[in-house]
Parts: sequence; C-alpha cells; structure tokens
Amino acid sequence: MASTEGCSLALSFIEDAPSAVDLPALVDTYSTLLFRIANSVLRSRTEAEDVVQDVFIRVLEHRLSLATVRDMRVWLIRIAWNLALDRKRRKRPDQLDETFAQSLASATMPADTAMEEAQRFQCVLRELERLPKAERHVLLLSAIDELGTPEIAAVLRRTESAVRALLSRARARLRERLKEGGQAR
Amino acid sequence: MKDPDRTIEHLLAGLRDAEPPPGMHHRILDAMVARQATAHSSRWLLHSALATSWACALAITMSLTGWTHHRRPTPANLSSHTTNVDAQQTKAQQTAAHKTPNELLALSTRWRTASRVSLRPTQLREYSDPEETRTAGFPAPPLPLTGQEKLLLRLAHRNDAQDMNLLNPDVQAEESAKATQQFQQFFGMDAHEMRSESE
Repeated sequence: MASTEGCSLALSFIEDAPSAVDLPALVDTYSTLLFRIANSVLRSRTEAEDVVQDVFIRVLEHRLSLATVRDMRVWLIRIAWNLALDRKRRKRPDQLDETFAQSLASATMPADTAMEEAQRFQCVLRELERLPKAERHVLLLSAIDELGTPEIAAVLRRTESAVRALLSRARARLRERLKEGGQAR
Repeated sequence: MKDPDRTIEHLLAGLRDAEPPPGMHHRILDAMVARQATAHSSRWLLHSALATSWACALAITMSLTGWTHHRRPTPANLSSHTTNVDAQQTKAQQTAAHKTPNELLALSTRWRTASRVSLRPTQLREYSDPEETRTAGFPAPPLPLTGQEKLLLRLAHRNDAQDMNLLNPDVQAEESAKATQQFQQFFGMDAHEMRSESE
C-alpha cells in the first residue's frame, strides 16, 4: 500500500500539467479487467501483464487529452483489446495452448481430474481458433463477466443486435464442432 | 466430446476468473513513473540540445559577420588607398612623356613594384596596432592574385617594352619613315612596270 502511495505521489509530482484523471486510481480500477481481456486473447499471463502496462503507458502519454474521452472504461478496453490482437499476430497459433489449458484446469479442478480437463480445454481452444474472427472476438469478450453487450458492441464497433447474433452463432458452431470432434474420436 | 457446453462454460469461466499476477499494480505504476522520468529527461535533453544548437548557430553567424566586416574595406579607407595609388600613377605618367624608352620601361617597372610595395608599411603599422584591428572599418589586406588574374596581368604587360618604345618620338619618326619608304618602293615599282608593259 505504501508503495502504491509512493508511486502515486511520484506520478503526481512529475506531471507537468494538472490532469483531471487520477492515474493510480485508474490502474487500481481497471488493471484486472484489462488483464483478463488480454489474457483471453494471448493466453499468456506475462504477455497479458505487458499489454496492461502498455495500456497505462499510453494513458500516461495522452493524459492531457483524457478529459475528452467520453467512456473511459470502453476506451481502455479498446486499447487493451487492440494491443493484445497486435501482439497475438506475432505469435504462432496454438503456441502455449497446452500450458495455458493446464494452468486453467489446475486453477478450476482438483488435481485428479485436471489432466483430463486440460485436454478438453485444449480442444476447445483449438476449435475456438478455427471460428470466424468476428465470432471468436465476440465469444472471447463475452467471457469477461464485467462486459455487457453494449460495451462489447462499442469495443468491436458493431451494433448490439449484431453482437448478439454473432455470439449465438459462435456458441452453436463451437458446440457443433466439438461434438463432431468427439464423435470422430 | 461428451458435454461440450459444460467444457465451454468451464473454459470461459476460467478466462473470466483469471487473476492478475501478484504485484502487477506496483509494476505498472513503477513502469509509469520510469516512463515519465525518461520522458522528462529526454525532453530536458532535447531542450538542451536545441539551446546548444541555437548558441552554435548564433556564434557561427556572429563570427561570419565579423569576418565579412573584416574583409570588406570601408569607403574611407578604400578612397585613401585609391588616392594614394592614383597620385603615384599620375606622377609617373607625367614624367613618362619626357623619358627615353629604356627609362620609361625602368620607370614603369619601378612604379609597379612601388605600387605593390607601398602598402606594406601601412599594413605593418595597422597590424602592429591591435586596437585598430578590432575596429569595424579596418581595411582588409589585399588578397593575393588568383591564377586567372596573374594570367591577365601577364597578357596585358606582354608587349610593354615595345609599347613604351613607340612613345619615343625618334623611334616613331624612324618607323614612319620606314613605312613610307616601303610604300613608295612598292607602288613606285608597280607604276614603272605598268608603264613599260604598255609601251
């Protein structure tokens, strides 16, 4: 806590012009949400943290124009989303999926069933990657509990009805493909 | 897969409940502080670099202006030099009318040498006085001649001896007598030959 106060003091001290937005408070409020969004795209905790850091550095760079931002939450999510997508383009598909699935399974399941669940998660992740881009994006953003349909629509620059339709199609397609995959096995 | 809906829900729940690594807030704040400090120092460096470049530009401009002033003689000094040289030249031309060609040649050579050398004591005096060299109107020393100027001078003075010789009335009379004789010889012969042929 003391360290956070020290950082906020340092930030307020070195700021040139008075900014209407309290940057340390922004970090406290939104860093977890932004981390989850970046993590869902990148499937890597370290890279997701890097993305969150980049987001707040951008905020710092544009702190003088923050007063003109209408919806700070959507604006931050959009930055994090775009940065994560940019970063993902540089990654090989399926890279780190196994580790990510294992860490996800071990976090939610007891150890004896975690191995099996990790394999299932890996299948879902693989099929998720094969979905059309728009459907995949809607599905990933809908996974974040804090985001409602209007916010997802604002982030993806689509209408709310389009988001709902894409979400429904994505779930149906994913379900169907997973069933087909299970039967093939 | 037996129950895909359940697996999808578990996966999405896993994504939803992902907790950030411990200490992420602090690291982000530290990175922001570091970034801000870097921006500050880089802005300071930029300002100092700009100030230095401005100072350098100003110094160069001032030195160039001073140098140009130093090289350009003021009208007053220029006129005194011109008057000095003109007076010497007029005097030499006045005396030249009553001299023999050899004397004239010697005179002209002496005058030319003198006109070149005559500046030297003045220059020496001016160089030796440091206060005067600092004044804006300090006349610049004469520049050495370029190759083209030297060539032009050589061309202009190529027939100096003959030209000076022609100024001598005795030589002029001799030359004109010689030319008349040649003329008469040529045309007199022609008339004689024509008359004999007609007869």
